[in-house]
Amino acid sequence: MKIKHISIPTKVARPGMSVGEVMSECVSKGVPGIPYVDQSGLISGRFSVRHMFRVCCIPDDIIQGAHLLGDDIDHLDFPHIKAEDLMARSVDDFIYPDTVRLSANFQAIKALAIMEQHNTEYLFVTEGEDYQGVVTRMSVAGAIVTRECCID
Amino acid sequence: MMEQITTEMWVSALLLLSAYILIFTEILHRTTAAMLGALTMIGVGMWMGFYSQEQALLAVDGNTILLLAAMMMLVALLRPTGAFDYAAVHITRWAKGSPKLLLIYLSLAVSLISMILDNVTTVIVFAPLTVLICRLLKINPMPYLMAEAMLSNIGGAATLVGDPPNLMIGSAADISFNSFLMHMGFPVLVVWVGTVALMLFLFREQLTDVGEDPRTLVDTHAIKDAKGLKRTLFSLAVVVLLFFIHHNLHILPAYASFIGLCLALLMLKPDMEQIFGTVNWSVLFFFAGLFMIVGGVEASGLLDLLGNELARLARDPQMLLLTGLLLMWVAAVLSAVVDNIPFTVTMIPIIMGLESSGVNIAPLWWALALGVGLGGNGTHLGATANIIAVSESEKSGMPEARITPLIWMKTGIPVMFFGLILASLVYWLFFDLFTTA
Repeated sequence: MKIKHISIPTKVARPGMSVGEVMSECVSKGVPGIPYVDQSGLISGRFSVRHMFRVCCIPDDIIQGAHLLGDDIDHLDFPHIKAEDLMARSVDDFIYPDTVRLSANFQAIKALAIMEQHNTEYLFVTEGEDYQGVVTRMSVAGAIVTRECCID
Repeated sequence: MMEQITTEMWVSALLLLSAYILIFTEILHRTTAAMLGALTMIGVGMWMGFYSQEQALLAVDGNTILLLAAMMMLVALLRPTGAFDYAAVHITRWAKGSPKLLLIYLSLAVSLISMILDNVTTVIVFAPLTVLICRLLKINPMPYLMAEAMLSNIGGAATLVGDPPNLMIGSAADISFNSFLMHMGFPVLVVWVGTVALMLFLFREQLTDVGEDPRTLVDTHAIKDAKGLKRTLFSLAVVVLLFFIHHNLHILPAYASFIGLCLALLMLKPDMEQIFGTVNWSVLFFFAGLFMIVGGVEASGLLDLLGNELARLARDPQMLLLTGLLLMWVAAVLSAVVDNIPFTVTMIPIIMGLESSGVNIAPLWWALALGVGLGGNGTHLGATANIIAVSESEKSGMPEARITPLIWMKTGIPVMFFGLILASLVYWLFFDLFTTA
């Protein structure tokens, strides 16, 4: 099963876009992140939902002591105004510089192995310099469930 | 004196100075610099005939290196059990939302733990928990992070195993755990109480009650491995007990720590690769490199020469007190700006050399231990625990919590000098206590 058959086409994040716009694209396509294309038109990083939450909402101390938190932590939760503020911020503040790209002709097994190697849920599929879409662990699983994996 | 200095002495001094410049300027990683320095010292020493590979190996204090490695592994076994989390939950409850009580309790816990375990690990574990507690209580974590780092440095100064310089001093001077605690315990207690009082005063504006029902942490999931916790605590208790009687049993503290470690390894059967991976080899090789560098300078005879000069001053019993105080203050000021380990390693053979000149060197050991122990609080670079507190303040994402070098010094310098004044007073008033090792 080649990953070009199971990649999910998405828009890319560009300089100056808001977090809201980029998050909406991730949510609507069900992908954990999309590539960030800089002024020169090259993929120079990625917008990752996980990375964004780490940067804006869950500092290390909360992660480390998560099992010690009770239920009375309303003041640490997402107030509406915080979400509004976050959605309006520039996506440039949340770009993760590291990207892992795969050629569209790679097999899904290789994609899964590289995901394990990089401890990630998704990879970007490219054809030369052209971005094709995102392949996720769930998209591979989906292809197996629907038997699309049998299509050569 | 000048005609007595040989070419070998000049060369060894130059090599020592070059290595220390590389270490302090951080041009190279300190471990790389120490290893490079040691290799050069041995090579040049062999070529010039004043130092050999065998002498270099003998210069490494195995007691210090092995004890540190064993304690690092014991801490690595204790940490995942949730013991520190459990302690933090209960400290928060006992404080009942009072910012001042929380500062006292957290400082006390960190100081007591640092008397036995490595204070850097203690701060690494407590600092994020402290930020979380402050987040829940809606208070600024900055005073707490600074207090924890400073008081862990002070607490560690009380015991033979609390701080690497103490271990090096104790090992070189053959001072027992009990003797260290008896001599250092009182001055450290005085400094500890004084420092807490000073910090409560300096941070009085940040330590005001928020007037809300305090939210606390829950201990339901704090203990992750109850059986492992009991077994590790039992092993640690054995180690502490052996520390108290190691002199009577004629065993080294390192041997005592390895008895506890082996007990823990037998009972817990952990993944050995993982446990050995937790040992901070870089720190241990840094220490070994320093021992070898200073061993070369010692072999050249330069340290004896320096010791002879110092002996002229210290031989007079009246001047011994003054020499001790001077050593304490110089050690403290240097430790505030540079790593205190190289200074300690260099001073040890100099002080030991004084003994042959008929000087009672016991007061100098205590002065050195107090100086290097208290000096680290002056600047954020003075101790590794301070750097961890600063880093945690940055990671918290709270602008008001950020500890800049200037903010550190505004509190650190008064804390350091106040501590030194208190320690000097105790040293002066009870000088007879410090004349034995």
